[in-house]
Amino acid sequence: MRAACCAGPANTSAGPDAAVVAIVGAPNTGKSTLFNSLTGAKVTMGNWPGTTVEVSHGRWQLGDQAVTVIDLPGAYSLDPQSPDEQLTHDLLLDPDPRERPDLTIVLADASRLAHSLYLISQIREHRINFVVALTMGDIAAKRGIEIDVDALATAIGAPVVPTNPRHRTGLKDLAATASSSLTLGHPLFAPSADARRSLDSQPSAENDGKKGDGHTSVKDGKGDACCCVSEANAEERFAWIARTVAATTNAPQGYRQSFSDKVDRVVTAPVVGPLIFLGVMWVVFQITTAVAAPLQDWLDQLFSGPLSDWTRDGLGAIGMGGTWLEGLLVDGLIAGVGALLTFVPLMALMFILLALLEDSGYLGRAALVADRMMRVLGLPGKAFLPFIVGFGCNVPGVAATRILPDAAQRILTCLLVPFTACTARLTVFVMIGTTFFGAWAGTAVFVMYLISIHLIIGMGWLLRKWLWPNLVEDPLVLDLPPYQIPTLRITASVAWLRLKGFLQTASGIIVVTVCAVWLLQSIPADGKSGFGAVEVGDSAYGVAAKAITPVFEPTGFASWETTSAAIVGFVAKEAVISSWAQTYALAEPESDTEPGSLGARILTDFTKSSGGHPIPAALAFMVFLLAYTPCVATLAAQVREIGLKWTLFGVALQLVTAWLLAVAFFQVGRLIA
Amino acid sequence: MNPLTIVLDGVRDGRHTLAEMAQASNSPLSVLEAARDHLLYTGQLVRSPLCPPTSCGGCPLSRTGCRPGLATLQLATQTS
Repeated sequence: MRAACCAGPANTSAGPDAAVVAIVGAPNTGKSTLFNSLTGAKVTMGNWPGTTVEVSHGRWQLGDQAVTVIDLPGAYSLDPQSPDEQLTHDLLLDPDPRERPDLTIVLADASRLAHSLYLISQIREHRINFVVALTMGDIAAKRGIEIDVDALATAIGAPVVPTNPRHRTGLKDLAATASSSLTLGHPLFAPSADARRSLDSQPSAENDGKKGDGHTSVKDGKGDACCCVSEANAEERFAWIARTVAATTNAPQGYRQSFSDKVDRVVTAPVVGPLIFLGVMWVVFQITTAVAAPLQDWLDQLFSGPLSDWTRDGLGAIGMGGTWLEGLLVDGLIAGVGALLTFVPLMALMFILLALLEDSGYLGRAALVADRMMRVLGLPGKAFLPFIVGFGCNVPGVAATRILPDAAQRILTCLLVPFTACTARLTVFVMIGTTFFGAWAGTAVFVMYLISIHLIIGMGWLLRKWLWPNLVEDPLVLDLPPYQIPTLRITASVAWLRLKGFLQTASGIIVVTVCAVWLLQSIPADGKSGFGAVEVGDSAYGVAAKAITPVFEPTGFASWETTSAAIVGFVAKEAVISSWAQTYALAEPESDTEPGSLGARILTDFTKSSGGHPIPAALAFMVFLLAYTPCVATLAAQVREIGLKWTLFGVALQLVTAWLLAVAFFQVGRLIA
Repeated sequence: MNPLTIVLDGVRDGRHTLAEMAQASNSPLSVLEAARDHLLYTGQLVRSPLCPPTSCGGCPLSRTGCRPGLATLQLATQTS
């Protein structure tokens, strides 16, 4: 090779008659670092003649001999998939010997030896004069990988020189080996018998001119014979790679477990894995409810005490005391939105704990556990993703069904996503949990998540058997991210992103809902009282709620204050709390300044409506909240994804399921109690 | 068995991870990873990052800060 590569200025190449050494290797194997170490600052960059591929070339002094070094673009193999790889392919396998480099230095990453060996397996099939520079030895050593260099050289059939361009070690050995190879002028070893067999059986450049070993036909679909030869060659090469790795590294026999693998064996095991996942989630709920409770009480006192008093005093000072404005601000916005904002510390803590689990890589393993469960029940494997997303928020959960390739799978999964216990429901679960279950609040919330999982599985199984008995699942493999120590930046960033979403809901749709509820509570149903001067039970809101309440008699929570909150919950689940707060603030204004009084009033109501069985009634209400339509935003997302017909079917399914489950929980619970 | 065959059969048979395949076939994981990357390179496998099309910060699988997240590998014939 004498012409094209030496087109640079004289000081960056060794002249037109000098030998040419090409450096090739996969991206990120240290190719350019080696090139810079060999050539120093004397480097020229430019497009290779007739191409748009940028190539660096420089001068390397090998004792008395100066050679031109070309840094070819990164190439994983000699089967070109890009112009960069095409250039490497053409230069190494070009039929014109004058165009070939006199010597090729192939880089192999010692920390990922198997990855580097495919290119080497192809190069050794040709009469190419090459030397292997084994880089990344320091990283390999850190990972406990040891490579027998002599055995590797024997297996490859070419000299192997351990080199660390970053620390400039091994460069002299590389120079000596390169010098010997250049003097010899041909490969130190002839291509081995198995390598020649591959060469003889393929339509390579040496045999047919330009087409390499025809691997591109896998993609372009041209020529089945070519494709089969290519696949057979790839299989032969990988068989050689497997033998070489086994013979030359310190882990020759079978599957060697890393720390991550050992952890994965436990946390993703079919039986133990789900139990560990449930245990982890139980701890998360326990920590959340126990640690955040004092902060929640403090905020409750702030909203129901000083903040309400200051607002009343302020309005009184400007002559608006006792007017509709005081009702809207104090009994509406402060009572309603304030009740929701008391959950900010709880949600923040929950989001931080979940972000820690995510950033460590554990939640990816939980996805694996969920995926296994989906497949056991015959649901599409990929469906686990929308469900896991749905546990954060049902709206992106519904949108995530787009990843499913089959329409039936999308509809089925869309119908099931609303049964996932989203974080909006979590606020209501925690409130009811702390009111009715005291120290067991965390466990009560955890049980709701368990019921949610079982509901998805059960409903999924039923719907599939009923509507899509021939649904086919697509096998897939999960590419799990490695475990890592969570970082403060990412944990804080993820937690804040979600907390911001919660605050946006509280300050957006909940404020509007609170105003709408206040308006309905101010309008007299009989038309006799004035606006804002009506008893809340006689308002349009109260009368409508009382009309629906009898439907819930068998569930144990048939009080109009609760059923009206559940109806408002159609808008957003957080609105259940704000509606309760508004209703009780108006119904019993004398007690709304007592901290924790909202919980006490709900407990009294449930005790009354359940005939003295408040615990089963509370459980029934939690299950009802879990199973019925999550929010209008989810409905809108469903209409967008699966159309109005299936969305309405889903709403009917959710309401019937929610009511039946609530009745079952209350009636059975009452009997047990 | 050949590493390429192990990975392709593993995907077809519903193995969940490369580690499972390595364990079942008693093969070095690094060789199966190289085989997986070769199959991705030649288009016989397709890798899809598992991030939802929309995000409101509610997805526990999405990541910020450019860290790699969960992805799936599927046979190319399944996605066409």
